[in-house]
Amino acid sequence: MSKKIIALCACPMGLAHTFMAAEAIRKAAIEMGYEVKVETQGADGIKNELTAADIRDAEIIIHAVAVTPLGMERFEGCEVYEVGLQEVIKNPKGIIKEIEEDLAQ
Amino acid sequence: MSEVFTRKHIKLNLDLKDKDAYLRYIAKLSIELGIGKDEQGVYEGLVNREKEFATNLGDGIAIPHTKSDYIIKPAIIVLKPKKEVSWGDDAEEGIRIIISILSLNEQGGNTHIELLASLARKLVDEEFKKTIVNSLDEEELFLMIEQALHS
Repeated sequence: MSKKIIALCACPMGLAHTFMAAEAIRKAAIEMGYEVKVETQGADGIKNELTAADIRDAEIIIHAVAVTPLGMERFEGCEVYEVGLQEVIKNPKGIIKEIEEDLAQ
Repeated sequence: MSEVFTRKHIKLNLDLKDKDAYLRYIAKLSIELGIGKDEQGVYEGLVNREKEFATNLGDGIAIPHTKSDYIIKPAIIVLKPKKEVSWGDDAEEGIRIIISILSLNEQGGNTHIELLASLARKLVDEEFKKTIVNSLDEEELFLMIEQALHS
């Protein structure tokens, strides 16, 4: 089974950056050989919600948020990498690589 | 239901002074197209959103957006400036296409958000971005963006 990345994306209006970040992470993760699931908290509410099992099984947990998202208690006790929305939209692979390097230490 | 995006929502060859002038132009256009109901309100919504963090995506694309009670019909407006526009952040390249997203302030019945989300997801696609940044053809821009809204 391939390793899994999960992410949560949320931005002020929930119209654009949330979905751009979600897609950027999804594409990069797949190209890098990961299984991936991304929850969006946009103007259409919570989509693709991360479950306890998703969080338990994830190798890497990313929060790309510019607002405080709902359901933060799900991540208590987990190692969460917080990244900027703009950064992850521009350079998703670079950010995942940095996280990989950090985990390898 | 009225269309989120039509050929009338595309304006090419614009020659306005600066970023602020483009935001004002979007607000004015929103009234003319029956998208907004208060020009100043729409303008301020766009300006306030830019203050959170500028909507420059890099690669020559900016996506000024607002969600408010001043919007009565969700819509996409696409502007092509004649020359590059500085978007007021530290990005080196100027803006060559402005895609403005205007949305209602409502909860529930959010089918239009799905359209906007589809477009947003497409905005991380390098080929798509390159085409719309370079295109000066109204029909091509219309078809590309229309397709992205429904992808």
